Amino acid sequence: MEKSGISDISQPPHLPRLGRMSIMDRSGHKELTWDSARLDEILAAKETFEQLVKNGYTAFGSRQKADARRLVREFDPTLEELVIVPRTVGG
Amino acid sequence: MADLARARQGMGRFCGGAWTVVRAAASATGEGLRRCRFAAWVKDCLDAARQRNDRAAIEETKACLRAKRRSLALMLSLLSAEQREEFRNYRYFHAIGGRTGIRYRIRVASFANIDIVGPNGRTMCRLCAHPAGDVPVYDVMAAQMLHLEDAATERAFLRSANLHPATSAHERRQGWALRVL
Repeated sequence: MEKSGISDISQPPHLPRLGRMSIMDRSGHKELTWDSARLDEILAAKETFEQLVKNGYTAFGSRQKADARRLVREFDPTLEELVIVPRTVGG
Repeated sequence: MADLARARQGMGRFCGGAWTVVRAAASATGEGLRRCRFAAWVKDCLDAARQRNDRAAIEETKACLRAKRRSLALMLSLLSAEQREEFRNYRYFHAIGGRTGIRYRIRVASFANIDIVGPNGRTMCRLCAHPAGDVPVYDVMAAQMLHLEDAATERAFLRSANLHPATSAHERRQGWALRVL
């Protein structure tokens, strides 16, 4: 069946099933994943994100893995990938 | 006797109160037997301590290698195809400043590893800024790239970075030595 333009627009936006947060530390990085369909996992990821940002970490994220990572100030569960970087210091 | 005294001092750190027990036991037996038992006990304690230290060192090395592998995997997943290719060939990659358009070369090094590349391709100066904490070198490079390529964070990163001359003191010395020769 051919899809009309209207039916395409009426489709819900694509949400990645799994989001992944990589938190840099001395072990390489720690990973936290969340299922965008599960509220408890989203809340846990959001809490971790906010705690880290409060502690001076910087978050970079992208909607799709192939996209360029951009600065993220607020947690967005629709992001597919988040990289959390510790505070920068001059060497 | 001097050796025995030294061993006794050393064992004080390892065994604490155990020395008191040995001293009490030694007073009840002959001098030779006492020395022999004490020497064996000291040797056992030292061997055990050495084994514990060796195990800890091996574990530390393994953890370090694991961290390096994990950080390399993360960094490679964040690089573009060209950057990945460049890194595989030369152990560095270039990043373009998100706000300034400056070309940076990020090398595998723990100190002043970002070169600001001029229009002629020569290094103008070096930057030193890295994530706080003891993160592996590839995580450092990935963090630097993310900060520099983003228009919102590049300026802040540059402000926090220390600026170093294009050539290191060692290279300058080498250059001077060559001129003298």
